[in-house]
Amino acid sequence: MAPADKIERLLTLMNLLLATPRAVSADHLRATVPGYPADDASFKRAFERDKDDLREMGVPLLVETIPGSDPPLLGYRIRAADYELRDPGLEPDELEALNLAAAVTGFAGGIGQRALFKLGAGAADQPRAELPADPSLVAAFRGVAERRLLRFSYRGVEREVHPYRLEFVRGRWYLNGFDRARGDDRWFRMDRVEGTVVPGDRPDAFERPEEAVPGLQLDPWVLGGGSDPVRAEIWFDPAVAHSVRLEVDAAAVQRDDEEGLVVSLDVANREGFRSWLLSYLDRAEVRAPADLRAEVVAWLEALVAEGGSTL
Amino acid sequence: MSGPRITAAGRVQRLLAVLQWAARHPDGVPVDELCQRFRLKQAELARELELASMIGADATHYDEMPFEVFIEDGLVFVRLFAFRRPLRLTPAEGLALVAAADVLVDRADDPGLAGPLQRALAKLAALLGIEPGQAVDVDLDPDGGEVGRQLVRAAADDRRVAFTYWTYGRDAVARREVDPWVLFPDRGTWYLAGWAHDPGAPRHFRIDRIEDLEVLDAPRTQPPPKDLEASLGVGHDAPQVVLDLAPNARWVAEAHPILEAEERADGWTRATLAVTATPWLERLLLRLGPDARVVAIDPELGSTDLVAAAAARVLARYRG
Repeated sequence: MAPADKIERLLTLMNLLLATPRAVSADHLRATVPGYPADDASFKRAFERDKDDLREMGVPLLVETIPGSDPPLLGYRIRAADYELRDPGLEPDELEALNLAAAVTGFAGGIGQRALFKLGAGAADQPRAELPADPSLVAAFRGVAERRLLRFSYRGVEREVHPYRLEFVRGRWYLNGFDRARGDDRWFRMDRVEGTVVPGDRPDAFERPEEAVPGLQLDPWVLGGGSDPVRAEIWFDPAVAHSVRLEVDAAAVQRDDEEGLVVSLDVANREGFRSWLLSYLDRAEVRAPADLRAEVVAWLEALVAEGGSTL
Repeated sequence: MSGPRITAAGRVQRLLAVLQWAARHPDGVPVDELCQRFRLKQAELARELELASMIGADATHYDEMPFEVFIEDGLVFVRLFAFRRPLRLTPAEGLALVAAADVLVDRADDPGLAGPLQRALAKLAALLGIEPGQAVDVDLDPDGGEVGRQLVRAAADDRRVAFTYWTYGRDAVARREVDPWVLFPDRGTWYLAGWAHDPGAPRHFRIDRIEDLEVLDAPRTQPPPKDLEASLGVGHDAPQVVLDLAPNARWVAEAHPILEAEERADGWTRATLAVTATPWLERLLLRLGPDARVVAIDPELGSTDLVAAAAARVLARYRG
């Protein structure tokens, strides 16, 4: 547990910086706030750590020239208007619902709990499921929320992205945005970002699209495919019906009985589709369209021929 | 709350939350109620309040004291001279709340929760300047759903379970009897680890592939081992296959545990894989097609023409 004198020092520091109408110098703080070490080097270290703690809490520390100082001297203060939370007007039942949600899912480090404290809630249970926090996730979220341009390196290319949306699917975070270099919307996997994501200095740097960003599509028969899908009909053995149902939209199911499961899918990526289909071995069969069926048959015939030739 | 590992910043924020909550009750708030709300023991609360009352005590001006705190007849009285409004949310805190709320919004089947949560999310979104449901979308199953909850209860009650399961690796469907040990998530999917009575060994099961779950009257015969992780590791005595993989097929090494890999000058990789069952290998080779060649294979898995035989079997479906 952090020692009491450190807590006392931080609160005193915040109180003083909030109350002062003009920036005050580090020397003034050192003389006024109890608990700083006497020698210069130790004070500097302690003061730097305190500033880090204030930033972690979200305290907007202003660094500006002290009015009338000559030569100009930098000083510190906190503007109340920057410091204070705008009241979101949460009703008690809404706060309770957020508390419940935070007890189910969260990030490491109790960050959700601290947010709840600020909103006036009590202590919540530790979250049951933990979300992975990729190093640049918060910077990416800041870009989305404050409409800041994001700069980062991805697949060896320097990107400038207008970030629209963060999505967490199948255990990973993805960022959607407009890639300025490519002139197109695309998805980035956050754990594949090289180095750090740097948000631009200017908020409201772009307009969000009028239309909602379509959700990320990870289905192998769609992902990375062209824009001209074909409608395919596939039969599955009843033994694997349960697993297939988990992978396709309920609306795709055409038939589901002891004869088997028949689904209808829009196939945009034919290779991805073939690979997915063959993972069901002989418990799956593509029935239509004829050309897609012929492709699968040709692929299998080639493998049979290859095996025959090496024997 | 989170015990002794609270940081200085975390402790400051908790203390401010306690004081701001108490200050909303000018007629005092019972010590018990504060302890319960903030999960503090009485001694801990007393220590935090004592600390607060010391702030600015040795200052030259009385008005530099931000808080007035006293306890009387089991009631806590707080007056605030500063810190009346809570501190704004950091982007990290905003994301944490929005993500947590988004997980439950899609899953809450209780209308008593779904309604308030939706309203809370809308107010948070307005505060953070984002579109509700647009800026952040989290698809996470926090506990494996109803099946997951039943399995956790069965393990806690020391009961055996039975379910129908398609074993992907062996491509077989069977009714299984299992002593449940523990549930764990991996890449967004939940798994059950437990003792499978057939074949009499520890096994993993994907929760979403479990059908017709039944909690049996029989108790567990195999309690969880102390060294749970070691007992679930991939067996090193599993049969092996050596494959040549084309540059296109490098993902195989990313997606599966590779025992050995050696990249050659032509860009192909020679990799040794442990294989739990033949259908798993057939499936991999059918998908890779010309991008994989079998170099050597343990006889119990089959022979090098394994892929041709598997392709012929699938083809039979198309010619039948």
